[in-house]
This record gives sequence, structure tokens and C-alpha cells, in this order.
Amino acid sequence: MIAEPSSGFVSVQGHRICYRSFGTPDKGTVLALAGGPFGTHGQILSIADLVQFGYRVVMYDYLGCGRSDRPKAARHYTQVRAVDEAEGVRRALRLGKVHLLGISYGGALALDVALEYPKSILSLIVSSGFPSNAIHTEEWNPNTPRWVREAITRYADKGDFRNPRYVAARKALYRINVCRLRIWPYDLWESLARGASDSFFDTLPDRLEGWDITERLSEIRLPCLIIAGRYDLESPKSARAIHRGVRGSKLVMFANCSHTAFWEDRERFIEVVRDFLDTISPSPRKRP
Amino acid sequence: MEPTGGYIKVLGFKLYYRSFGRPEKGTVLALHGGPGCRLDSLLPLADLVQFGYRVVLYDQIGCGKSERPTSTEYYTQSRAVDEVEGVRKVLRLGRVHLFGGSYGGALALDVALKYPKSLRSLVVYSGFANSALFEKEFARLQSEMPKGIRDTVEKYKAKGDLKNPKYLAAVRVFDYRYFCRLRVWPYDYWYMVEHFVDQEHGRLNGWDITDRLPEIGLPCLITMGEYDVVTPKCVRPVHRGIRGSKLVVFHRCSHAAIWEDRVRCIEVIRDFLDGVENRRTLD
Repeated sequence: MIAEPSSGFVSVQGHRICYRSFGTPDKGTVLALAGGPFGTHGQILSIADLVQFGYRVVMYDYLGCGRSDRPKAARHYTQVRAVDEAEGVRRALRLGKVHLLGISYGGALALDVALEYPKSILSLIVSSGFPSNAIHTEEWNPNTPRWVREAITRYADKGDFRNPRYVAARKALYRINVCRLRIWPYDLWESLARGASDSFFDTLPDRLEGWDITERLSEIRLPCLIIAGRYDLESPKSARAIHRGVRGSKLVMFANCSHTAFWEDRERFIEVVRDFLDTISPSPRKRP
Repeated sequence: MEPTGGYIKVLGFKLYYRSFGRPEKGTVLALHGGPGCRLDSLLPLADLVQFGYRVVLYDQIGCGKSERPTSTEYYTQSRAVDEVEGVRKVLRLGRVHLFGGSYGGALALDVALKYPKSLRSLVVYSGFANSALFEKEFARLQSEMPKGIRDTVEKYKAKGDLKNPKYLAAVRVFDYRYFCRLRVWPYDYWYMVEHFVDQEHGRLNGWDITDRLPEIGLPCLITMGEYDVVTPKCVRPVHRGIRGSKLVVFHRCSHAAIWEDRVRCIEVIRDFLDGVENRRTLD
């Protein structure tokens, strides 16, 4: 019998976190971290396709997002706390050792979790992630048109976010470097549209200010798959830096994708992740 | 606008529905196939929300999360037709664009005949108008499978061992050819297939409305996949019968174009709906 998907709330660090779980862990459990830091789990729902290959897939909404609690104080929204939250969700749901998969900001978070809680993790999958806030915020993908870069830089520096040229450039950026599909899947569209319209997030300080773990990547001794799109909003320098840093890691570049290969080339993305997961045998259970 | 969902009571039974978006341009009511699938199989229709359409899906009686009475009297075609009209009324959807996939397409045609004033337009996606013809074509496609596959299927059918992995694998070869050609099935589609409960109960025995199709005076879009299990022989009569209907064949797709070529499929449906809405505004 196929497990019904389930959802609910778990208490983590004193707050209610909304989670969803798909499938049964016949081969293992994938804990998936969305982008953001304020994306809802809806944007990565396609990861549930892994269920048909024997994996349980668990997602959750970060504190402040979706249906999870939203405490007002800024101290709740730090990177350190987000790392502990991931570990807290794993423990509260008794997931055991997980394959940790992170998309975009979730990829950066996954790297931090791997450094802090290596014993909780069987393997690491970082898709469109980054190891340093400097690369993340300052480096462009060379495939971003120059006019887009220039318009965004110019009007963002001035703080003129309502300028029609800025708006047009941003729209182009989304089409070229975030999701290249002519029509966005509802869940991605809904998640990004809602996140963008939520002014609460603007009031919070940047949790990644000065964040850089490039030098610490060599401490990660887990099987690691790195995925990036040729047109990725995230500079290819990020993927290469992670690849160089994590010994034995595997880098897969999606030729026709940007920042959301799991929607843009859903079938192949899942195949690549599945094949990676299938090569990792969980430590054999002790037999009586 | 948060998506909503829940239960409504229609013809005495609880039905599960989901609703996405606001009807800025219009409302699409979608009927899943089977009989025995579930609304999950049509979830990509929610992509239409970003173009101004409200999309409403529901699990037909006996399917998905809806109530499952055991008596077969609740599984007739005429009751299914009234159920569609009941859902529309209970949810106060007004006149809808009715979308039907596979068996849902057959059902949508019947609804268009009985309740034409409830509809603005009709989308028949991999649907048919004659059940005997569909069964004949289905049998033909099966007979054209490689001999090894057919033998395996026959062997386990004869033994009644329908859970044997070898039997399931052989059946899947057919499914991946004529139902959904994606190497990885999207979770919602996969889940629907795993939970399929046959709710046909003879409701389509001798069902043939080909001769009545000219009565349908609604704008109509008909779609099918290039490798569809509902073959051109089944679909062409629908196109011929409904005057002014538009036929679109999805290249490289089979019976699940909405998943197999999601972007193109949604574009085709959106463009059709926009055309209907624009003409309405001009009138």
C-alpha cells in the first residue's frame, strides 16, 4: 500500500513549524530545504517525484514562512537558528539520518547543516546553492544580459525599486535566470509571488551578511551532489567553489536550465538525484 | 489568493474539491478520468490561475477523498452528469468552462448535452463519444504490444496473480507507451495511478452519443496526444460532430499531455479560453 502524504506541525525551538511528508522510507529519507530564506515548501514540491523510487520526501516551511509560526523579533531569523531548525525538524519527526537536499538559499543552509550536524546526514545535494554571500550577491551569471545587470544594479543602488526599467529588468531576470519555462508551474508561481509581496521580510536584517564558509567546505566528508543551471541566477562560480571545496563531490550542469532545474527539466533532475541517492547505501542495519 | 478546498454535499454525498485563484476572466471546472482517477491527475490546470482563471477540481463520487458508497446504483452515467451540475451549483460557480479529461471528456460531452446553459465552453482532452469504439481501439493497441509482454500479461492474468512484479512491469510497458511517456512520473500522477479504483460499474455499456454531438453549440476545444490510448479513431468523430470545434494534437505526448508537455498544453487551453472570453466581451 502506498503511504498517504501527511502534513502537520512540529514544535521546534518553541515554535510551530509546518511540514509535509510524502511516501515511505524504503530506501531512505530526503529532507528538502526550499529557497529563500523566505520561500515556502510549495516551490520545491516536484522533489516528491522521488517517492516512486522508494524515498520518503519531507519538506517544511521555514520559521516566518507559509503556515509556520511568525514571531516578530528579528533574533529568531538568524542563520544559526535556521541550521538548528533543520536539525530540530529532523529530530522532531524522527527521520533518522537523512539525505539533505537544498535549493538556492536552502543549498547554502544545507552546507551549514552539514558542517554543524554531519552525523545527522547521509548525503548532501546542493542545487543552485552558494558557499559565500559575497559570490551570491556580487557575481552575475555571464548569461544574464548586460542591460538587465546594469538596470538592476543602477536602480537598486538608488533604492528606486518602482522604476519601470527596474521592474522590466527584474521581470526579464526571472524569465532568463530563475525559471525559463514559458508558463511557471502554479506552485512555483504562487510561492514566489506570495514571498515577494510580503513586506514583513523586508524588516529583517540580512542573515547572510558576511557569511562565507568556502574555507570550511573541506571539512565536509559526505557524499555530495552539486547541481547548477547554465543560466542559473546563481553564478557558476558558486557551484565550482562548492565542487572544489567538498572532496569527491559530483557536479552536474543542466544545459537548458536556470535556477529551478527541478521544474525546468523535472524528469532529468529527478533522475540525476535518484541515481546519486541509489549509489549511497545506508549503513546496514544491525541484525540480531 | 490562497487556494481553498474541502467538502461539499452533492446529491446526498460528500465530495472533495479544491479551488485555485479568482475568476477574473472566468472559471474552469475540471472533470477527471477513470472512472476512478482523482483530481490530482489534473492539478497542472492550476497553472491557468496566473492568467486570470479560477480553477475548480473535484473527486467524483467513489474516487479520491470523496465518499464511496458501495451500491452500484450511485455509479451511473446520468447520475455523474447531475453530479457535475450539482458541484457547479453548490459552489456557485456561475457559467463555467468545462474541462474533461479522458472519461471526464466523455462526461463533459454528456453535461454539454443536458446542461448547455451552465457552460461557456467545452474542453475535451483525450475524450471520446463512443465507449465500444474506445474499447475496440484499446484492445487493438494491446494486441500490438510485443509478444513477450502480451504473454507475460496473459500468464499472470490466467493465474489471477495480478500483484506479481513481473505482471506489473509488463503492464507498465503499455502505460509508459500510451498513458504517460515521462520516464519519471510526476508525484501527483503517480499517486493517482497507485490509488486507482475502478468505478466504471458498467456505466458506459453501449454508451454512444456520436449522433447527438451536432446538438452541442458551444465553443469547443478537443485535444489528444500523438500516442494517445484514446486513438484518432475515437477523437476524430468528436471533432467532426461538434461544429466549429478546434482539434489540437500534442506532439510526442500520449494520454497525459498536461504532464508530458505541461507548458504547451496550458498555453493551448489558455489561448482557447482567452478567445472565448474575448468574443464574449465583444458580444
